Amino acid sequence: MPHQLTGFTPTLMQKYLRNELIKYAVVMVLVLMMFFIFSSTGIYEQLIQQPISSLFAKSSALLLNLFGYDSWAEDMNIHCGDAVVSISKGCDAIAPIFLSALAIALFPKVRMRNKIKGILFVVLVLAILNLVRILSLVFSQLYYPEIFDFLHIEFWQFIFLVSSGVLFIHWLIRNTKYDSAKVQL
Amino acid sequence: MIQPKFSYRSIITFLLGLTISYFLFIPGIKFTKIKWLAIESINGILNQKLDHFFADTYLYLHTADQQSRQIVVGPYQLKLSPILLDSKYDTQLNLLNEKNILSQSKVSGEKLPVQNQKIQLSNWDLWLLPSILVFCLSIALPILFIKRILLFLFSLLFLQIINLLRFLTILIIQINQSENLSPVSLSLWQKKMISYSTLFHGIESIYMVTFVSWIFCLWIFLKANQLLSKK
Repeated sequence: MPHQLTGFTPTLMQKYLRNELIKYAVVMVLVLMMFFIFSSTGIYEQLIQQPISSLFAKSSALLLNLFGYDSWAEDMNIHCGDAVVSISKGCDAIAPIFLSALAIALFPKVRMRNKIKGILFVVLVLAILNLVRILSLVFSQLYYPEIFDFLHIEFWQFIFLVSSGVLFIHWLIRNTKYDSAKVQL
Repeated sequence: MIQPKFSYRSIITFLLGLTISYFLFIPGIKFTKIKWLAIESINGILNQKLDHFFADTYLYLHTADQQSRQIVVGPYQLKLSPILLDSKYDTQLNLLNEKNILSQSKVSGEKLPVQNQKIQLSNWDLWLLPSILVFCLSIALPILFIKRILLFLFSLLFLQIINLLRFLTILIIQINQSENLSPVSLSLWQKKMISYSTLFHGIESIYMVTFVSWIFCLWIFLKANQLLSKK
């Protein structure tokens, strides 16, 4: 449609650049890239990754003790019998939590209160899921070491990716409304 | 308020299809001979296309299937002993200093000193896993079967370009780190880009990049369909 004042018809590119969901996707990708760059720095490792991994290690050891297993945490490692599981970068669930929280935080035209609620919910669910992941890996190393690699990579990476997506879409459906009159993506 | 068109029913159908197909295909390929056949084919293609991609460096990917291989570099026939790697890896990347090999005078019966760099690789993580994931994502989508196949082919092609770029950055980093090989000359900007690319080499980012690439391809695919149906 031509512009009211200038009479110019916008090009396809201009039309897309004005689309809020396109802007949202572009900003998401840019912030994600910045996050990945930041995650390679020493500051990130010292101030974010190591404290979070240690927290997961301590919480997992505590849970294992509650289940009657003699377990203790040492920095980012969990010791349980013959099993030693190290929560290194990539096993700390920071990236999927950040991805989901970012997707909610940046989504246009949703009230801040609903965004905060959504982010807190996502962080809680994915943190609990990560504890389950760590415990499953400890148990796998204790009882089924032959499936450890499969659980560690193919199983849990997929579950985290799908869970992040599901949590975001669930939040999206609850907090937004489909408008057929609007130009969609 | 805005929202892309979603319904719980279609999402659940998609998720069920995705999960079932993923957990059928991943173990079905990873723990059978299919994985080794696929890896041998990938290595064969890469060896054919990239063996002389870098000047002065000969590239050979050796599948860790406990079989010896023979490679020909100039007038020399080199024998590679069978390899057995840690279960995380399935391929040994051999980078040979071709310039150095060719400059040596041939004396029959004598062992040829070869300057090289060996690295353990997981072609499963680099090529197969993302391809299977894209396949499962595409076939689980509740659209016409032919459209699923077209979407799979389109996203696979897009993903292979990303995978190839990822693989090339691994090669460049290894060549430039090695003291035995002629370095690839890069500008400061290229060096920075390649060092940043290592952030996307981890398994977590392989999954994320695959997923995001597929969503991007899906969006283009649906948009193209929309435009075509209007015409």
